[in-house]
Amino acid sequence: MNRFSLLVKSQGLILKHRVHPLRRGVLIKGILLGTLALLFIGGNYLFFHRIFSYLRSIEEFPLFFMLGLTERLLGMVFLASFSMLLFSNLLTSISTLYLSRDLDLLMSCPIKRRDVFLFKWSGGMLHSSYMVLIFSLPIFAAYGRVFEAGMFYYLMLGWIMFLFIFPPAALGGMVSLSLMRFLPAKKTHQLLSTLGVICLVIIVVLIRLFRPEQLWDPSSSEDFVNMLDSLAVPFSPYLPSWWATKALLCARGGDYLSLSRYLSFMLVAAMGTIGLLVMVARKIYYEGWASAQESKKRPRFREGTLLDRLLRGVLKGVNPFCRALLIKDIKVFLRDATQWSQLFLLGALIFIYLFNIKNIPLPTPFFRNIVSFGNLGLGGFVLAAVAARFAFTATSVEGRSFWIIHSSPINYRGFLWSKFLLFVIPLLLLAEVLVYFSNLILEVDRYFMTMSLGTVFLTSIALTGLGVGMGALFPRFEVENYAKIAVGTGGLFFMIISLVYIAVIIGLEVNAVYIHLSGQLDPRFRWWVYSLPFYGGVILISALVTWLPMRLGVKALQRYQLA
Amino acid sequence: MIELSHLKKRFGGVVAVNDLTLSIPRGEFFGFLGPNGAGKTTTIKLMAGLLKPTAGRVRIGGFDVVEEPLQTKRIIGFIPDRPFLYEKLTGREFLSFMAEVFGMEPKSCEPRIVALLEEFELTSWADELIESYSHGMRQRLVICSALVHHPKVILVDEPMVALDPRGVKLVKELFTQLCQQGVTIFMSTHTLSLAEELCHRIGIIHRGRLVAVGSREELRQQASIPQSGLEDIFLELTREDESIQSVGEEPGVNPQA
Repeated sequence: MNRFSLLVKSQGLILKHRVHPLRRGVLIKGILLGTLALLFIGGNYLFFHRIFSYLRSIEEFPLFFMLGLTERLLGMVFLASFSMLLFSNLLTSISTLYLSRDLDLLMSCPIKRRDVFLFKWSGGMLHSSYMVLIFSLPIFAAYGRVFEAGMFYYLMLGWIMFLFIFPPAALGGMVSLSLMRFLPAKKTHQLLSTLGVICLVIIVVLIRLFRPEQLWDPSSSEDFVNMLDSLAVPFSPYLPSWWATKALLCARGGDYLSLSRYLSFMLVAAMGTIGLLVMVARKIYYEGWASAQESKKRPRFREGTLLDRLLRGVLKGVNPFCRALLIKDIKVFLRDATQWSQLFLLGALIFIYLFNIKNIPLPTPFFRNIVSFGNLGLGGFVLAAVAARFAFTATSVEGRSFWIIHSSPINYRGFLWSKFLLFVIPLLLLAEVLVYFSNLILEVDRYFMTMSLGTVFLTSIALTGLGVGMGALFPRFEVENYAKIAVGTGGLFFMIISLVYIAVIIGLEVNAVYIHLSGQLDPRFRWWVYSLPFYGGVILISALVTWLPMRLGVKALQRYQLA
Repeated sequence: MIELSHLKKRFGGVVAVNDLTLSIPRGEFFGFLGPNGAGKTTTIKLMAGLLKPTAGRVRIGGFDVVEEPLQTKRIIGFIPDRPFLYEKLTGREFLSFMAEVFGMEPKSCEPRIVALLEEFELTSWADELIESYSHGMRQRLVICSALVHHPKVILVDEPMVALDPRGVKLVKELFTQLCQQGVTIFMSTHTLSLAEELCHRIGIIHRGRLVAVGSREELRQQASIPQSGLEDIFLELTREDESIQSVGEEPGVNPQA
């Protein structure tokens, strides 16, 4: 067996050992994530099926114009996929080619460096390509279905996609090889991660501004076609995304000659870029990897003193243990680009949320009340998602350094409440801003505004307590990627409990609001007396949801054994 | 100062530490030897409060580690074998954090931190993020953090791993000096020469059981191989032989000091 196959076989064994023991929770997590993935794929398919059906059905435009629009749409999908593949491969290849822990071992084994490189690069390529395939394949399937493509189309689709993923993966690899030759590995990875999040934010905001809901509104269909026609997509006959688009159209139309021409272009591009990548790797991969292992001393770190003074000033009255923990956590958060860059996503989330609220039609006051309640529920859901990412991970982000906390004379009550304090203020601000502005847009009355602001005040505190407490009950110190902590079994469990809590709170408040509205009809009706038990229930449940998980979390950490 | 009484730790079906009884007085430098997987690190983690015993008890400075964890941890300085640290803090910030966690005032701990950084030759790196430190520098920083609060007991697991010869000499001198000042040191190591050179007494653990304890001379007698070095004693006492019994079960040998 040659060495490359041996390396691939070792990965197979690792995968087998990961999957084989069906531990408790793995099955539930798999089913939940599988369902979510299927819902996404199904939704994506239905959305594009609708677009293609619509384009096919419009009669006021000539057929060639519609076909041109379809081609443009497919071209956009391929171009977006190409860009995503390029960026994703660039990011993944830095971590797989330079930061993987197994590289020390592989490089010291009697294996050709070329084989090590190809093994790591191809693994990275698979890892970064599957999401793009999951995103794009339902679109091409919808196109094939609407335009009645035969089996040949689907066969060719597989071949086209196979050839399509190589050039961006190879180009991404070449860019990362060049960057890594001159820049420190961790800095480059962090910089690109941040850029990635910013790009994602821009894409999400642009998609929302695109207002896809107008597809379902017949009055605006012409606007949509005009907009699609005016989109300036760079179509160049030299881009692989253009060859892939053309090949796909030819496969559907049965133009075998053109199809073979475009497929040949793609094959040459795939082989050519891989050949070039191997050549570049032979020249600079080992040198880049070797220099990434050396720690370089950088200019003195002065920002720390200023930040330290500022934080100590702000936290002057706080208990010294909690203050030390808070200062440490804030510094770590601010210096870790993979953590703070998530705030961009949060900004985009708020923007999209308010944009959606603004675009909801509100024909009657009754509708406004319904939407206001929906707003409260959705706001709670957004809050739960943010708490899952930040509050739930608060204990786990200690990572392998948790021995420092566990072997120190730290009172776990103080430890967890300092984490609570760290996240409750930003979450409160986020929630109050979100609900205040959305209620302003909805033009709700003073009663509803007060009730909403009071509710999100309580839910922010409760969800932070629930998140921090449950995070301590389900710590994952071995996971380095913080985003993964939130989607683990404990994270999903947290989301379920959060949603149940929000539903209960809204259920209680619906009753209170109903009593209030009844009071408006009859001035003698003492509505506030009857509302009190419901509001009391909201306060009581919120207090319990805050306190109980925190208490259980403290107990769990006290019992925790660091093997 | 350190009292281990019938200490036992079980992980599922595996008994990592079995009926370990040991007493170490104040100011003693105790070496803990054993083959890989013998239970050395587990014992140290039990003493540091990172693990809870299945049976038995650990008392340090008169405090029970399970019943009074905070009081116990306050007098301990723990140095693990693998120095995982907060990568996004600077060395100085990390030491300052540790000092505050151990109840020291930020201003009063400053001279102590400066002195430790100087002693361990980390001053020029003090304001760099730990992520840029080498393995040896991290090890030095961990040792500094264990000493910053003036501990009465130091628990140390393989201290010399990754240290350069200069660092090794520094640590050896420092530990000897601390013992003279009354600090008790419990050190697990594979480096027999180090144990031989520094330790007042040595305990040998094998398959979770303490098979021998005493000074080098006493160990030689227990192994029944006179005129031999610690290496021969160690190999003899940890021989894969079912007939070897633990010291506790052998009549006439008392593992307690």
